[in-house]
Amino acid sequence: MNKIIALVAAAATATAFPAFAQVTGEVRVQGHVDDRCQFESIGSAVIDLGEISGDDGRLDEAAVDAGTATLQGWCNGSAATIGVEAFPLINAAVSAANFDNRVDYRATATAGSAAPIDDSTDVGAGADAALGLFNGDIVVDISNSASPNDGLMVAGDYVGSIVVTLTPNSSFGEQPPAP
Amino acid sequence: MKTSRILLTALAVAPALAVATPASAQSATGVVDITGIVESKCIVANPGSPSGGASFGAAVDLGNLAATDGSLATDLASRFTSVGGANLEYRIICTSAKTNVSVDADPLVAASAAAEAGYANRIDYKATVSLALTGGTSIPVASDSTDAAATVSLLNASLAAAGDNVFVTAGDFRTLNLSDILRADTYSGKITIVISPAA
Repeated sequence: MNKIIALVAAAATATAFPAFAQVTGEVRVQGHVDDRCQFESIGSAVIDLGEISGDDGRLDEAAVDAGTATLQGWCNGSAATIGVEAFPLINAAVSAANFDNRVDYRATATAGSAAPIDDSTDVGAGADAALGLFNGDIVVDISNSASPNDGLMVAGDYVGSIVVTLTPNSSFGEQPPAP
Repeated sequence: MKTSRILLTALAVAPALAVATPASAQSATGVVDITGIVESKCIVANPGSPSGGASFGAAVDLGNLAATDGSLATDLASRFTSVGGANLEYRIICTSAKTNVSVDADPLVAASAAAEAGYANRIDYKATVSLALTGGTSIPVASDSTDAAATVSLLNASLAAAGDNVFVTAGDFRTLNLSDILRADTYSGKITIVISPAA
């Protein structure tokens, strides 16, 4: 009788873990890549226009319109956009009647098929353009330059800037990290 | 008449006296046969943290896969181990003298994003499952996510009887080209491990 009892007890213990002919394990691996844009080795540039007044002392539009520079950047999401904001060239020296100490112009930033523009006479940046996936040169050009009064240009240094913005936006449902 | 009574009494007692002693000196033997069986099977004693229909496993979230320059991060192997932690270690009990092991690594692939030149939407890697065997040895079974089929190995020993005996690591994470920029998206892949008893 002792032997039979031992068999029953052993059978009960064997079912404590479920038993299978084979067991299958699965390690699920996941991750994500945020929407991002970044300027590469060339993220800033200087356009030195040199002398911007002509022989008549007035603005040499051709000299200003020749200004160009190239940046390099990329965006990894399909919803990325590009925008540009142009700030006028300003001479801090005081102007006078029939003189100008300011130069306005249009800036264009060309990246692939996107070419947003902005006039320095406008407040704020121009409208963004769709960019999408992009990795390459961003060419910044100046055009349509003009002085407010078409007057004589006040002597001195003129300083302005063009700001190009690459915005990643959200291409797969998650918001990009705050800058 | 006295004599007659005495005889009757003796007869009445005689049958009882005859049964009290054994009729023969030979013993009798009975045998109860006992049989049983232990089936070849594998049992999961420490399953980690499985999901879906798997009997053991884990979910490892590597987080942001890209480095600051947009290419693949270089610390994913150590990140896999630190994030997975103890959920990458299992105890499997197999009753057979030999063990079949199959490991199949599937690449991390973006959910929907396509990849143009200079970009990547797929990350390959090598998964290694180390199995501790009786006798103190440890055998690795590896699978690369670029392999067309799972790696199948017959181990001529039993899995170690005590403690965790199956350990998972992943390394050699890479995109097709080193400089590829990863497409923004969620990425997922998996490592499938099948352990079965062998004769």
